[in-house]
Amino acid sequence: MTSPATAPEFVTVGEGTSVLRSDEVVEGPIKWLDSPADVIEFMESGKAQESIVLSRGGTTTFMAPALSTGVRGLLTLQGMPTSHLGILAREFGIPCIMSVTFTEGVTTDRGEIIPADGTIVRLDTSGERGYVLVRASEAGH
Amino acid sequence: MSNDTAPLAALLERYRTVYEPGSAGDAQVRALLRSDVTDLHADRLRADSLTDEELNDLIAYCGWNVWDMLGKRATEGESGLIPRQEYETIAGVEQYSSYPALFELITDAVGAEGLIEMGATARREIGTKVNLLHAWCCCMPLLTGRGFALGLGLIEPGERRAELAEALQFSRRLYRGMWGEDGQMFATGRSYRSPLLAGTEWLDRFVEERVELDGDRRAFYTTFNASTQLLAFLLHMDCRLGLSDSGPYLMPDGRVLIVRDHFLHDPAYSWFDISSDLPHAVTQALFFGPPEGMEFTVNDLSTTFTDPPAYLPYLSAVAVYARDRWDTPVEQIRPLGEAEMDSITRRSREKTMQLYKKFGAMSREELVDYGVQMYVVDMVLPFLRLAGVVDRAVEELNLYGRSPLTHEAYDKLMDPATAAEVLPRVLIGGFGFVPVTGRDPLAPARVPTA
Repeated sequence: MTSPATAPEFVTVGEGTSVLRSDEVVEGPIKWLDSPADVIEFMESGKAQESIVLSRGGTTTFMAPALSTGVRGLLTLQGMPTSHLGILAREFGIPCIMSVTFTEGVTTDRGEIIPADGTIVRLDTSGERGYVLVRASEAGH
Repeated sequence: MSNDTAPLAALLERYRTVYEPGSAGDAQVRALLRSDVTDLHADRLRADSLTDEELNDLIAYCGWNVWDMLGKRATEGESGLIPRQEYETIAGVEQYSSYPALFELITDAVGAEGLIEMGATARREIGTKVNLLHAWCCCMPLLTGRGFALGLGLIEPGERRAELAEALQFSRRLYRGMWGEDGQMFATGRSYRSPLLAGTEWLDRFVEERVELDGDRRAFYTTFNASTQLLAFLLHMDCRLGLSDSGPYLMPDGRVLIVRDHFLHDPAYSWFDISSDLPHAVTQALFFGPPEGMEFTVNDLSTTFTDPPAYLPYLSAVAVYARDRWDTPVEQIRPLGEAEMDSITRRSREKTMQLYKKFGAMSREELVDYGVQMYVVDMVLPFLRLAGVVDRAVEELNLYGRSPLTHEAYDKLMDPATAAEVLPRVLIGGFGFVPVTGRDPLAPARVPTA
């Protein structure tokens, strides 16, 4: 894995495909959304707009409330930028990285590794490859 | 049938490991066809049916076209809300079963020339589902459905030759009307450009009625675009039937125009009651002032892609319209002012959340049923309506029902593991597009391996 040049206090914990390239720094607490009930509850919590949300699949409709509410960023474990979610993230102008593989974090009930809820992550979408970074102190480095 | 395998990655790179994506692949594939079936000459549209050679050639080309459109998205991943893979495959089998008879019903009502004239609606109107996507959908899902039935071992490749040969001629006639000229059938053979309104008064009207945008106004209009687009996706069960772009059009001032429809209401589907206070369609004429060298394409799914991908920052002017009902006369299509746009944006967001909650409370089987209905009905409904045969399609041909073959496929395709295995083999490996008779003009289909 090739990491982008980062401030020394950040380490890369995930890599995927950027939907849109941007030099804007996007940072926020991550939230894993595993069901429609999770999505509804989180969108109505008042915390969504400050957060970066993570889902498994790359389809549009599962994340529809997140797109509509306006989250800070979108991450998925599956899917491509040409998918419907990629297209809608582009239309809403929401930073999005798809098919992210994480190297550290907690394990989901399906065995996937993802950052723990609340971890402050930073998104780097400056290139075709998108990166998810955390503070070295949070990653235990 | 081939038992050859190939790594999935290789099959995503090139169709059947041989044919490129894009215009290069179009040229490769067409060079191997034995007929000129993808070339829509008026004299070849009078016959009611394709020859064996034409049928097999068109099936072969469609296999590449579907891969080019969808192959890279076949790895979209699962949906936590709407089980799209399951309903797409089940609907495809139903379309293979039912569409030939539905197309025959329409053709008997309007004739060959009437079909071509019906396709020409796309060159006269905005806010209509008589568009390239729906023409593509009269062709491809029927063939992919055949592919899924083949993949499940429910049918043999040689079955229903006569029905398929007539059904694909139906699509060719629609396409000829849409393009308004002889030439390639699909956008893949037209450099991915779909300027259906070129030369019409619509372009002059868009120029005259456009609103030039500054920073704040751009945000207002892009929010309208995104919010109505999202609702259209959700209403249409996470597929693209609720959206349609045409273009790109190069304007006299050097800007690039894309004309975009979002479909927000239709009485044909029970769950659309939630949006009964919205127009049937909103249309945006989107003017862009892109940097030099930026490429705009509109593909067979009526979807715009740009290179580089960020295009909305270059939005510089918009004209917006509403078509209140699907049968509102085109003369009554009206401009939308910003106050009404603001209201539509707000209501679209509210309805998105309401519909999401409704779908979130439904069972998987119910959602699949809605999805099958959307695919099977919506793809042919615009043409049934123009032919005046919707009631006959419902009463005589069971438009909202399911065939015995579909019932047979249902349980298998409701198993996520089966659908996830069949889709790549049919669409990416090419097994769904084997010839009805004789030799495959293309390299053998291959079973994807990890």
